[in-house]
Amino acid sequence: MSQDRIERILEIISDSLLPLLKGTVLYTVPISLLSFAFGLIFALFVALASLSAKSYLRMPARAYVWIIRCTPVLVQLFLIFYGLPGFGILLSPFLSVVISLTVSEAAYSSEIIRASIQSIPAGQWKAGYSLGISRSQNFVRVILPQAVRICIPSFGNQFITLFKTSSLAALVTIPDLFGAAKLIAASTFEPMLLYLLAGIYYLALCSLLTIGQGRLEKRLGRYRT
Amino acid sequence: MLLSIERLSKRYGDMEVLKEIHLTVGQGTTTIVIGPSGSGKSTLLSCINLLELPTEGAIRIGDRRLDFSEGSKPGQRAILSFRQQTGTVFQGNYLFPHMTALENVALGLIAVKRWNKADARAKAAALLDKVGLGACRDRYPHQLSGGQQQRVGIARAMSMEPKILLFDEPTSALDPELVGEVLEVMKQLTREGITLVVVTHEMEFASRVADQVVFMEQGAILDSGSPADIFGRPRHDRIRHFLNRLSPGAMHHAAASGVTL
Repeated sequence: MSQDRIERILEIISDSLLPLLKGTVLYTVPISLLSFAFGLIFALFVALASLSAKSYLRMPARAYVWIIRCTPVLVQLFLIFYGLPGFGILLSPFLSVVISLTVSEAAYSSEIIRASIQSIPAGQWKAGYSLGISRSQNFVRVILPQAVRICIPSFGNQFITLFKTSSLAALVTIPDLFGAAKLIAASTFEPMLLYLLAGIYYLALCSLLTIGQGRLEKRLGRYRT
Repeated sequence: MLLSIERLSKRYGDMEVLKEIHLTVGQGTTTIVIGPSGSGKSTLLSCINLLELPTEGAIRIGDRRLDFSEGSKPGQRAILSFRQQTGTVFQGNYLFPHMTALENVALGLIAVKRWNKADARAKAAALLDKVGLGACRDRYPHQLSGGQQQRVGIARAMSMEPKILLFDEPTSALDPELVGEVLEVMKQLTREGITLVVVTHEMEFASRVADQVVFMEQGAILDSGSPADIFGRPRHDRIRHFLNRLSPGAMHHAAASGVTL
C-alpha cells in the first residue's frame, strides 16, 4: 500500500469518527431507547390481551403479533414512511422509525412477557388469592415481579437486536450511525472503510450492552424460583 | 357451629369430585380429614376457601353464607370477602420467592387490609416470632429449609386473622426430619383455640389433636367422628384397611392414648 493511500485512509477515518459518533448520540441511541420503552409498555398490554379469556381482546392481540412477526420491519417502515403520505398522513423520518420499531418491538416483547407470565406456577396465584387478594393486585404484586425477572435476559437480547435494527433509519434519510457512514461512503467512494468503521462502532456499543445485561441479570438473580 | 357445609357438590364436566358433602366444624376445634388420594380431600378444602367454586350446595362461616347452584355464581366481591375468613397452608407452601419471609407475611395486610407498612411489618414480625422464625425474617424462601418455609406459610395464613385455618397436606412434601417442627407449630395452634381443618396422612398427629376425624372416599364422607371412633373402632372395613395399610402404628397410638381398640 502506498504512502498516499495510507494517509488518505487515516484522514477519512479521523474525519468520520465525529460524524459517526454524532449519528449515534443524536439518532441511534434515542431511536433505540424510545422504541424500546414505548415497545415494552405496549407489549405489556398486548401480552395481557393475549392472555385474556375474552376473545374480543385475545383475537386482535394474537392477530397483531402474527402479522408483525411475519413481515419484515423494513416493509413496515416503508409502509409508514412512503405509504401513509398517500393517505394524507405525513410523518417525520424520526417519528416513522420510532413508530415502526415500537410496533415490531411490542410484538416480540409481548410474546416474551406472555410466556414468562404463563411460566409462573399456578400455586403463586392460589397463594395470593388465599390471602383474599384481588386478581389485579395478585397480578401486580405477586405475578408480575416474578415474571419481569424471567424476562430480563430476553429483554437484554431484544434491546441489542433493536439497537442494530435501528440502522434501518438510514433508509429513510436519517443520518444515524449507519446513515452517517453511508453518506460519507458515498461522498468518498470508500464503502469498505466506512462500513467497517460503522461495524466497529456497533460492535463496541453492543459489547458494552452485553456487559450491562450480564450485570443486571446477576443483580436480579438474588433468588431462585 | 363455626363452619357448616350442606349438600356440597363439585363436578368437572361429567366427573363428580365431591358428592353431597355435609360437614360441621365447631369454633376452636380441630378437624382432620383423611382418606385415600383422589378421594376429594383437597378439593373439599379448595371449596371452603373458594379457590374452586362448588357446583351446588351451601357453605357458611360465622354469619356469612354462600349458596351455589348450577348457572349462578356469587359475585367477585362476595367471594373475596368470604375467602378472607379463611387462611390456607398449601402442601407446596407457595411462598412468594421474590419476597423475604417478613414481606410474605405482611403482603395480605398491606394489599388487602391497607395497613401502613410499619404496622404490617410489626405484626408480621410478631407472627414469625410465634412460629419460631423471628431470626429469619429477612431471608428469602430459598434460604430457608422446607420446614421453615412451611412455618412461614403458616404465619402468612394467620396474618389476615382468619376465622378458620385450612391445611392441605402441610407436611407431605417435607423431608421426614422436618415434619416434626411443622406439626409442633400446628399443635400449638390447636391449644390456642384456633379452628383448624387439616388434610393429612400423619395419623399419629391426627389421633392426638383431632376433635373430629373425617374419612373421605370417592368424593363422599364415608364416616366421621372422634379419633376414638374412627381410629379405635372403625365401623367400615374400608377405613380399617386404609389405616392399617397407611400406618399400622396409628392404632397402637390410639390405644396408648386411652382408646380401646
